[in-house]
Amino acid sequence: MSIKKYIVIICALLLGALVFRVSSVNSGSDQRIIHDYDPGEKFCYNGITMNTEKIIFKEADNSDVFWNTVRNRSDNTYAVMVEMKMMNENNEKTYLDFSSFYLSMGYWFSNMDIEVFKLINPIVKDNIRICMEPGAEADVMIPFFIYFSNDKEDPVNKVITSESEVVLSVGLYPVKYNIYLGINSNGEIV
Amino acid sequence: MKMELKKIVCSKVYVISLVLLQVISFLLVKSNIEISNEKIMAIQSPDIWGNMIYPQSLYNSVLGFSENIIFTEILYSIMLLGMLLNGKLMVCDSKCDRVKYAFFNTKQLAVFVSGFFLAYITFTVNCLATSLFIPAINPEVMSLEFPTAYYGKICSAIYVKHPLILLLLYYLVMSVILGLVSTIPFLLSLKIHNIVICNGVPVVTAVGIAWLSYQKNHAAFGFLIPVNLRLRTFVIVIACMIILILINIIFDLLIRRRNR
Repeated sequence: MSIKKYIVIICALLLGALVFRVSSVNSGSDQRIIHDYDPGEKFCYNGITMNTEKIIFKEADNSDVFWNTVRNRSDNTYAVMVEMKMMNENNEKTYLDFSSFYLSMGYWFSNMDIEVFKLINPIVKDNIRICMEPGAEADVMIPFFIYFSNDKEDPVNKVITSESEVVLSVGLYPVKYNIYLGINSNGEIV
Repeated sequence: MKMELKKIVCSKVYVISLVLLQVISFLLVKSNIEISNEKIMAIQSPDIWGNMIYPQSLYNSVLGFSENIIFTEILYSIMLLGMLLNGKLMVCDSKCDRVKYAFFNTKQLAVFVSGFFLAYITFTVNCLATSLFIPAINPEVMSLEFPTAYYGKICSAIYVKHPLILLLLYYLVMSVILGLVSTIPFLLSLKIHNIVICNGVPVVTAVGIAWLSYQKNHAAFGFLIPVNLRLRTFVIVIACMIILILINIIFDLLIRRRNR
């Protein structure tokens, strides 16, 4: 057998090994699962059933006690408060953290505001977690803030359009929950 | 054409630069594997921040798509190396053999193809080596680790939905640009028989475009590169340029000494 044939065989084997390795790296556990939920649909996260009760769009108002209590913010600050009803369906005490709750509108997205979250939810004991006994129910208000500026070129002004649908996302990896809230960025029902 | 191409590709400098680039590329793959392992450990830990961490993906690890500044440095290095090496060979050629205009197109094409493959092989090897260890998980904007996916970046919509298409397109476009840049020293060498000018002009052009990239957010050479740490990139491009010019001068001196 000539050297060329050996080279071809070695190349074919290497290619096979490459394909096998790449497919094994990309298979199964490394891929994430995305669950989508329609407006009003219940979803389960860490054994806790959640349901979106109310979405409040709140513009900044310096005369409002809420804004003054929370923090000094610019006049163009806009808040989206998502009220959620939760129930622990586990048979044991469960801790739930809210660090991975995101809100997105079109191309804009943001984490929930931890400081405000602790302030407006007395149920939060330590850090950003709540503890729920088996079968316990709780109402939690999750705050998100958008900081607009007067600059028309501000990317935030551009990325949120009136048609942008509001989506609450929970977790990033390995499971992501997308909860469509059924309203647009103006607070109108889609 | 075949002969001209063989002349460039089989030259010691071309082979050494190609091997050197692959070695650097593998070092970058190694650093990405370490980052990936750290992230996997963090995701598996019971820490409450664990579910905010997104694993390392192929699409934010490969050359040109990483937030890691080293990747951009390498990219510019490839560009400069490609230009200087091809220019170097052809300048010597025009000086010694007096290039005839009849072979102009053939030589130019050979220079372009060699420059193209220098970049394309590096990109492909880096991509394949990375894909052996890091999974191709789709980009997630909310993780803040995929800068190409941000609003306002060129082709961000394609990147989010079909990252592999953008990756392949990017490599092709970048390789064509680098191939074209490689031909500048050759073109200059037809009229100017001065090695410093022939190799210096494209380097100055490259640095000029890098400077423009620094001024504008979108890099001109790597117009899809999402890196924002622009000042450091610019400094490194200049450092690369100085090092390469020094290598060039040393190489010249050695040839002159040998000719004597």
